[in-house]
Amino acid sequence: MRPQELKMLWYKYWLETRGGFVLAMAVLITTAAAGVLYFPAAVRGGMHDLALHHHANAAARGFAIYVREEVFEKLALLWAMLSVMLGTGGLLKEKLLGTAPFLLSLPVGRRQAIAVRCGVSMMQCGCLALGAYGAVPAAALLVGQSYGLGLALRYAGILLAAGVAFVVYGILISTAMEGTAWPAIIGATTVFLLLIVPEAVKGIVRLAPLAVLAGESYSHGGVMPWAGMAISSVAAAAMLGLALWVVKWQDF
Amino acid sequence: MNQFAIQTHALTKSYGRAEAVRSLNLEVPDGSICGFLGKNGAGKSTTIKMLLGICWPTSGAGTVLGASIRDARASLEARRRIGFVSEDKRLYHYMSVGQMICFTRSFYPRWRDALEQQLLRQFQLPLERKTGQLSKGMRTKLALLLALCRGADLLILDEPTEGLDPVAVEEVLQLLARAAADGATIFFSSHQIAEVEQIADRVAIIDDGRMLLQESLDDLKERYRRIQLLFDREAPWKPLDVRGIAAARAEGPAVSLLASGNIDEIVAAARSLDPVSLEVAQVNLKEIFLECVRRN
Amino acid sequence: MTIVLLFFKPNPSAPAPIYLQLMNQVKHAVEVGALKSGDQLPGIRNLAESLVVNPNTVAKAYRELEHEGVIDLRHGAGAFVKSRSAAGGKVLAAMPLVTGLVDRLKSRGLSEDEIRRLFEAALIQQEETARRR
Repeated sequence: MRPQELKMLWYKYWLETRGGFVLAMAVLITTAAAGVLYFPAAVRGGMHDLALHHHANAAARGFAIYVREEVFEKLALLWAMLSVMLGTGGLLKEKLLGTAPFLLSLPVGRRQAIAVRCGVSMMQCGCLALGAYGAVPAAALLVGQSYGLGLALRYAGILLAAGVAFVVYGILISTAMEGTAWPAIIGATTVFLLLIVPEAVKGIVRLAPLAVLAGESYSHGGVMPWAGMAISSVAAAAMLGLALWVVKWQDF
Repeated sequence: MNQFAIQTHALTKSYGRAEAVRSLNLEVPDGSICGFLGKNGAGKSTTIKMLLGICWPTSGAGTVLGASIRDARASLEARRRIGFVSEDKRLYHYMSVGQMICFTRSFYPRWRDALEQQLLRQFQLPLERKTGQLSKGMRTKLALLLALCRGADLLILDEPTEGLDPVAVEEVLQLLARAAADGATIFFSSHQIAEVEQIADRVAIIDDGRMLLQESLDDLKERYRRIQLLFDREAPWKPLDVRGIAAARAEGPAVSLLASGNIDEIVAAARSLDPVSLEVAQVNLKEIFLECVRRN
Repeated sequence: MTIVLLFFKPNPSAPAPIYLQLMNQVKHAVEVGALKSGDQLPGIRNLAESLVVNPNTVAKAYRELEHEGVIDLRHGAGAFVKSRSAAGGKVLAAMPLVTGLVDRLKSRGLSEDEIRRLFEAALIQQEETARRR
């Protein structure tokens, strides 16, 4: 594939997904800001808030811990769900919309198309993680706190590395499932369950995926969640391979 | 160089139990304009999709510009030299006409800029308008522009005049004539027998997934005859057992035969019935098509 | 002189193949003297585009016309009407014969349409007979 072909294919997928991307970015940044701006209220008398019940002395535990446990965990959950949704909408959706024959009549391989689509998706999800976590230090200034940008971005890196499987999961679903909205809905729902159920039964499951995404181990002594990141990468590679294999034999 | 731009052998496509295309042997010689005729759902679009590697054949084989349609890599290379208009002419609704052209052009080093400019003017396509807001006719015109400007050796067009007014249809046929004069091979499907008759030098008729006939249009017209017999009494009609009778109908004192060749023997056999009048007339493609499809 | 206007649009839905219709147009123009020896016919591409017909069909018509000795195809230069062939003269000479026959048929009360059909039927019948041999 020649560079300008690659560029245009990239451009096409960017145009196709930019609406969803901007929306997802807005949701994440709003959530990040809202979470941080809620900090003073949580300190003043967050006792009324059921969500804060299990750590009654939020102020005492410090802003940094509040951010990781309350803000990053919510952002990680949202990010994972939005990433899956952003990843859906491949060739099967184009088949439904009637544009697949046009694309496939170009000298573009199906696997190339999927690979570029996946690349665009990863790039967007990376930006989402950076944007959402990067909003935290900015919002912290508004409530008279400070949070290091470098630290926030390190957590974003963990999220991205440990969550790459979710991005590819979206690609895989939309390769296997026809529809415009259903793949996204089902993808987001399964991710939500996958992350929330172990959280609810914490203690039984030692390695809760949401805690891994939100960098729990890193906050406890700076340990990178290598195992989680490795599992995610392997799963991502496997799912991408499966998607490429499936798409090879499909009819459009 | 291959003698045929498109050649398939026993090409078959089934969806579950339903066979959309049955053992199709299609031949489109280099440099010809071949019209692909058939009713709705006869298998035209499925055939075209298999030629382009958009669908996989269930069985059978085929080559397009010398590349096997089962070989994904070879097929991709061949597509660099193929212009295509799909059945529903849908394009990226979020791209403007200009973006759509820019996108498509990047895949074709032989893109014809002068033709692009000419067609933009001729079709009065608004560069800034999103393709999702174009009328069906405009979308068809844009799809044609995107196919013709590729500088392709082979044009595969699925109903390229659908939704166009008669003036635009004539313009499109003229563009096809010009592309053919430039050496392109053209394979196009259509419901409009008249336009196939006007521009094609070859026809392929498909019905229910089967190829009913394919040959040069001139040969077809020279081969087929309608034979009309009149009697001074109730037509003494019994089926003539002569090769070449494609269809026969009797009504009162009249008998009408459609012959696909072997005219002399049929005429001789008909004379033996002692008619008061026997006329042999030429037929046009529409009659041949209708008769073929009816018989199938 | 290459006048495309000499040609009128063939009728694609007519039973006669388009190349035959084109050939007849050229022959007619030669017979009535509109095309003279050495006149150039329009180029294949040009004619195909203006009549909106297949260039292969025009090429076939020209090839057949050359075969019948009506025109000369000079490679690269184009198609030219041949030095007045015997054919044109023959046709003009036969005109009185046909006129006479038409007059006689009319006097029998046949309409022009009927006469035209009779001629066509007779020609087709001969064509079929010739084919049988």
